[in-house]
Amino acid sequence: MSAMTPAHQMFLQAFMARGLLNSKEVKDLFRKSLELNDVQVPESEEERKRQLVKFIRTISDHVSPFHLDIRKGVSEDDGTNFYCLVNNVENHITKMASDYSSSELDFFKKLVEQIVENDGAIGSTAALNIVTQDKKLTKNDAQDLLLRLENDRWIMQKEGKVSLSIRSILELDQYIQDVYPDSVKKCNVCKQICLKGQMCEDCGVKIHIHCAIRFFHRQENPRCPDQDCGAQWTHPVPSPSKSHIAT
Amino acid sequence: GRQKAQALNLEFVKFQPLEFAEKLKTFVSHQLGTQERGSLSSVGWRELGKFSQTFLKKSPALHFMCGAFERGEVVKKPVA
Amino acid sequence: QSQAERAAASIDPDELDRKVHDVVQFLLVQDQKKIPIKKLDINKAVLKEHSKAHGVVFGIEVVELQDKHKGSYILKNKLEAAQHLTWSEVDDSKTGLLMVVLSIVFMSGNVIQDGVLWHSLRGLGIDPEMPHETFGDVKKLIQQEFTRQGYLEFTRLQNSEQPVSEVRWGPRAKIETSKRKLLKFVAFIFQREPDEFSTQWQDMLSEEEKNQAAAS
Ligand SMILES: [Zn+2]
Ligand SMILES: [Zn+2]
Repeated sequence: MSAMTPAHQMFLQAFMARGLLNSKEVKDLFRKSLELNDVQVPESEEERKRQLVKFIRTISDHVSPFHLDIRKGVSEDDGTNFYCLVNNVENHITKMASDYSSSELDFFKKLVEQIVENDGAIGSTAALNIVTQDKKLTKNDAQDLLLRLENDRWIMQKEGKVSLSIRSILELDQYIQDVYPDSVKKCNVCKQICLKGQMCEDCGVKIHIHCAIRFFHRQENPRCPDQDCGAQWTHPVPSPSKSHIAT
Repeated sequence: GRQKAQALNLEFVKFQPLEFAEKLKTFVSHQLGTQERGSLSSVGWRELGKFSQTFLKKSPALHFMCGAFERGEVVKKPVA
Repeated sequence: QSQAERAAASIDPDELDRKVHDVVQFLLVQDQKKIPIKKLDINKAVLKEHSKAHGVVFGIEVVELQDKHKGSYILKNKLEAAQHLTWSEVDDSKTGLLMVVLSIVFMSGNVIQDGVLWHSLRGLGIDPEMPHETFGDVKKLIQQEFTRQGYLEFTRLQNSEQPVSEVRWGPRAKIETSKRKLLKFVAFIFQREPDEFSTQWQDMLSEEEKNQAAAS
């Protein structure tokens, strides 16, 4: 196992401070971490990429005894790549977390449930209505809480819809699969959890939008990717625009 | 000679909190290219904070959701 | 072999590793609110090892507070902060306010009465009795949050008719920053040289001398 250098520590600390970084931010951070520590930055893009992968692996190796990991995921919204520092253990120590109060965590838990059971997004009103179930928080509290969850990058709020950010999906992956086995589906293409996506009306197979774009690319007559199904794919598949090409 | 110089240097600049407040607003206005009058704006406080971080050795905290709450029961859907 | 090393040797290595990892995880979780961590109920061997692990992996130092705060720990960055870190908007704003308060306290001779502090902050639009657009309950932020985190210390004065408190730097402020850094900050804002504030400059020098003597 390669040793941690101050450059690695800087990189890791930046992940602790931000939680979620897109691939451009990761590349910039990598360069900065090397430069601030007088380490030569590889000139060729390819070599930089190779070094970055090695760099991240070193950090992952060192944080794994503390049940932490740096995971890569793709945003269900626009197909961009993200990296997250995730905790992957549930024990008596993690229960002492204090970023959110227990009633706020209850709210979040129910929010996750609603989102998982409603194809990856619910309306803001439905989200605020979660509070009426237990009455521990007021609607105003819930509104503030949604904003905090958004600022901390656990959820996204867009066009009146609330959904889980890639940070939540990556960190709660196992939890969601274990607790909602009947509701959650895995994408037929990339085999990762798929909350938002397109579903085959015949067999119920689900795929991410960005996976659909890749999979159906240049197919004139798209069909369900499931071998046994092969039904006509009735959803419109967006053309590969800039925002949907994973970088 | 030397003693006199030291005496002169003593209390060369006296710290005045209200003058400090004005200087802080001038600094922030200069950074943001705005005019901070009366009170410091939200953007102004943030800008001042960003600059201040250099003078503190704060360590980042670890934030997570996994394991922060109890799992509860597995949610099974009734078979239709 | 130190006592800690002997104690460490008597524990099964896997068991020690597990304990060390638990303590590091515990400290990381406890640090979320940035309140000094009390009751670190672990033996010396584990303490020494986890401290090492924390530094090697995270670039973070575990520091025990001194004097009446002995037995409490805070986490201090071993790296030069700010260059690689970005903080949330809330964090940044609070740091701005904290820096101003720490500056006023230090520049006023290391102690200031709370009334004078509030008066000094008025020029920036801080009124302890009014909700603040950025900080909300700003009195609570300064008196409670900054104090709990160890940045400030409020001492209630006896024998005064009105409730009066004296405000000083808390133990965390002394670890995360220094008089030299604060003076540099203040001088920068005034566009002066730090040593032009001769009273504070002398205070800083004599404290540094004292610390050096204590360290050697
Ligand atoms: Zn997919
Ligand atoms: Zn199908």
